[in-house]
Amino acid sequence: MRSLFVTFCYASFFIVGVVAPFALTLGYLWVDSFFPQALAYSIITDLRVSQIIGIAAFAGYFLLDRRDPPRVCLITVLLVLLAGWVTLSTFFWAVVPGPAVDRWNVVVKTLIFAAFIPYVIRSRVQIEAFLQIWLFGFAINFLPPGIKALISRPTYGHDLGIATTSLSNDARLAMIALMLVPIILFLRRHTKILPVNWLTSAMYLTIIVMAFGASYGTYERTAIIVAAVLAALTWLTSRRKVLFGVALAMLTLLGAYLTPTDWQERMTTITEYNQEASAARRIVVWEWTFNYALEHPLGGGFNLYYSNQLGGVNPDGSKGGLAYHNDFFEVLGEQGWPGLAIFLVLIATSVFYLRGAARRARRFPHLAWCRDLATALQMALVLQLTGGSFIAMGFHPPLYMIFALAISLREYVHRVEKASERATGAISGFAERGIASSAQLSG
Amino acid sequence: MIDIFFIMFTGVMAVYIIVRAALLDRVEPWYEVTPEEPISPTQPYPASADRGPGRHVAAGQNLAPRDVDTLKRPRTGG
Repeated sequence: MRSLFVTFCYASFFIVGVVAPFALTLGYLWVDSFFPQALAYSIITDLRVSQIIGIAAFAGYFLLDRRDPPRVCLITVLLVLLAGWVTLSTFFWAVVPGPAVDRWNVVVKTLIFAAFIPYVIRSRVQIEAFLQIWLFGFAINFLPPGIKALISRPTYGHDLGIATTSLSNDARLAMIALMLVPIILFLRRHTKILPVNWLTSAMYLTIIVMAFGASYGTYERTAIIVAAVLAALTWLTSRRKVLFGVALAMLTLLGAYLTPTDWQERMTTITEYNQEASAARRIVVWEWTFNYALEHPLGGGFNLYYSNQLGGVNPDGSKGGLAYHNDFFEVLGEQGWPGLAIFLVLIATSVFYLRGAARRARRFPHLAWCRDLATALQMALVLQLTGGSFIAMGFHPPLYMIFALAISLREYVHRVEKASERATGAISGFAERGIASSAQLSG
Repeated sequence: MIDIFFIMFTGVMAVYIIVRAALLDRVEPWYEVTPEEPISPTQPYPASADRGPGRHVAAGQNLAPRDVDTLKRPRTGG
């Protein structure tokens, strides 16, 4: 039954995609975050679900839906450049070629799809549908652990999620769940697809509570840092700062009262980073990666950390690798200084695009949603990078979805500007002709 | 049981969203266009702009036929 239902959901994207090709792109996003092949027991478990819908999305766009393509912009160029660079590093100088090719296979699809998204996601409805599908696709990873953590007593390392999904109960789950909070708040305020009423609002607020619940249930210190940054950013953007500040202080006190002692003890180890083994190991691996990049400026290819021998002992007695635990060191070690430069410019350009879109949208009162979305995406980006300072997610899809949405939003505002100028010009033309004909009649 | 409920909930929501988005995409204007300067009540209006002064103008309204064509008509197949 579960397999049948998941297969039906997957098939729905193809059925709707016949009349609305952008649904196929949403389908790829859904597969990428919902993992239907992992949730089903049969029918689609042996299918290459992601590949099939990915090809369908490209075919749908090129055959049926090529209207109003975006301008070629710096982010698109950088994404393609990064895809080319990771391909070179993988096939020409990767230190661990086998695992590097496996990782390349995933990353290059993420990069190409991120460059493709702005071609398909153009209108307001499409942008919102993208956000909704992203949310409800990913929500399956944090809703079950969220409610379980809130009604039971979780412990560190205890997986509360659906066992078959690719994201286990770790810092990545916490970070992405919290990163989605600004986007949920945006959808709650500006949704056009779902009816705007108390039920929808309550649903979104419940999802936010679950996101915090899931983050708490992971017992990850990264989660509390991301949550603190989220609280600070939300306070900064709130209109009622005093009221929000008081509510936040009360929630913090309530959290401190309700959370178990072992959770609080684990969180307090953040301040003991120089004595704590996990933090010390991170500093060691960052140092190793930096030194490696000095000696090998072009990087060592994907999964380079397998070779650093800083991790635990393998069953065969050899020492394993220790992961980077940081986005920037991950990109630096694997793709060298050129890769890091592209990565940093991508982030900076996204912020620049989002701020520019918000500024230009100010001229149009009906584009308040664009300003709010630009703010929500900037917050999501900051939260991604905050979490990414402690876990390595430099090549994971969420970051690249934000880059893609930055282009979509920028292009949306640009198209509205152009169309409005044409509309204003057309009306002025009519007005001038009207005044001229009135003058002739009176003369 | 909780897992099944959430699989059903998120799956149903995803299907509902794509169906609704596909329907809205066909009827809603792609770009919410308004003239930058509100229309003055003293200005004469073109025949198509008879909805009253200062009203927001959705895409396809108050535009010359050529502009409407550019905005609304999908170009399929390249």
